[in-house]
Amino acid sequence: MMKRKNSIEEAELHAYVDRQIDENRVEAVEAWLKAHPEDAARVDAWKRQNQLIVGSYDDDAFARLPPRLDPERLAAKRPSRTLAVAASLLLLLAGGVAGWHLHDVTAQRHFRADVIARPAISAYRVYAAEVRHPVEVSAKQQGHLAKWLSKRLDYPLRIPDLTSLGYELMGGRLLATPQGPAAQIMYDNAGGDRITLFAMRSPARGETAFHFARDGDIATFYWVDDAIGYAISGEVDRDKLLQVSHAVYEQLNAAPAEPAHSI
Amino acid sequence: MSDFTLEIERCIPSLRRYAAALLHDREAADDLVQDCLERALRKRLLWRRGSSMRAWLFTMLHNLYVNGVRRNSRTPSMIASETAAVSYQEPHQTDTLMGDIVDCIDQLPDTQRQVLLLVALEGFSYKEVGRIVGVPVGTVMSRLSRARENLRRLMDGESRPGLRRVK
Repeated sequence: MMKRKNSIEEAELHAYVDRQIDENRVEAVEAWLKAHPEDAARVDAWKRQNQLIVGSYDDDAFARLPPRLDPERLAAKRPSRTLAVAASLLLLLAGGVAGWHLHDVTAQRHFRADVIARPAISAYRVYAAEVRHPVEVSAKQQGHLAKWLSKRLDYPLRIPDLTSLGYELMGGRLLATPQGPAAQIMYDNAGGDRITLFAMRSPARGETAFHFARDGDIATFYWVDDAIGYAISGEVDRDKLLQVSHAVYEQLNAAPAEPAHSI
Repeated sequence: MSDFTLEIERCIPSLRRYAAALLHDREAADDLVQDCLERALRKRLLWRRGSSMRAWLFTMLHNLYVNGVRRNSRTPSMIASETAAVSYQEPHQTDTLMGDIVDCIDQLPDTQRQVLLLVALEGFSYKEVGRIVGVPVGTVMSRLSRARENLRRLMDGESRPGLRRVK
């Protein structure tokens, strides 16, 4: 008796068309297509679509770099990283010097390390050390926490998920700063190390580069994105903190999740 | 030239092509790409050496595009669709089939269009597309499947020229 062929899932037909199929499966798919002309017709149509799509946009013009997209030129317009970091540390020491770089004037002029990094570090120092009441609202009420802080910041604050980095959400609290309300979200890992995300309304909209600051054992990365200044603080090394900042930034900037059924 | 900017530069042609396919307006597409590059340069600390620069840039481009579309849909005075109608297929007018497929793709829902273009035009793996668009692979597959079937229907039924062509 001939062995009954495994049926081929549609996903595999797509993978076949897009050459993303496991090599070992090619033969099985081709045999299936011989026996199933309807599927074969679909596959042919899809292949033809792919060819047409590639053909429609095949244009050498895309490869000719217009000057305004030259990354070197764009980079030259920006403060370099070392410069930005050095400047931000200087700002920390000097307590704020405005207008230190011509570019990003609106964001930078109002952007002071002491507006974001200093309160973030202070709040970390006070609350991360807290044993009994590190947070005001615990992770159990995450929905409420997000809603409450968003309301007070007047901005839809998202609470990033850092479990992939080993940090669990503990909860958060509302803080008072000279500039108004701020949010502190706290996480800890299995070793009990704590990390906080600090967020407050930025005095100016816009985006800034990432800045790094350290005060004693506490390190912080901070930046402004849209209307909010953020800081990630912890008693960890710079690389680990950068990794966390990366994850946080990515999640905060991801397009809002669409419900799974909105296909 | 630093490694970082060099890697970025290598990705620019495909970013421009994808943005043009989404927006149908090369100027607007280059604006989008410029935004994306500026953001990438600002966030260069976040790029993990060894990870795919192209996927990273496409993720940023996607988010900028989606947020831009959302902004534009909130402020109708800034509609993209009409200005964008300055037709992309001009260089291909002789080939009706190609013009048609551009028109037909244009009629797909945006989420299907994105997935189809990322796979068919840009050759990303399904997994990468999921990461770029921010959905699970299963959703990528169902969007791709719908996109292809819709496209087949559109091309069969509506192969007449000048469907939505605006000069």
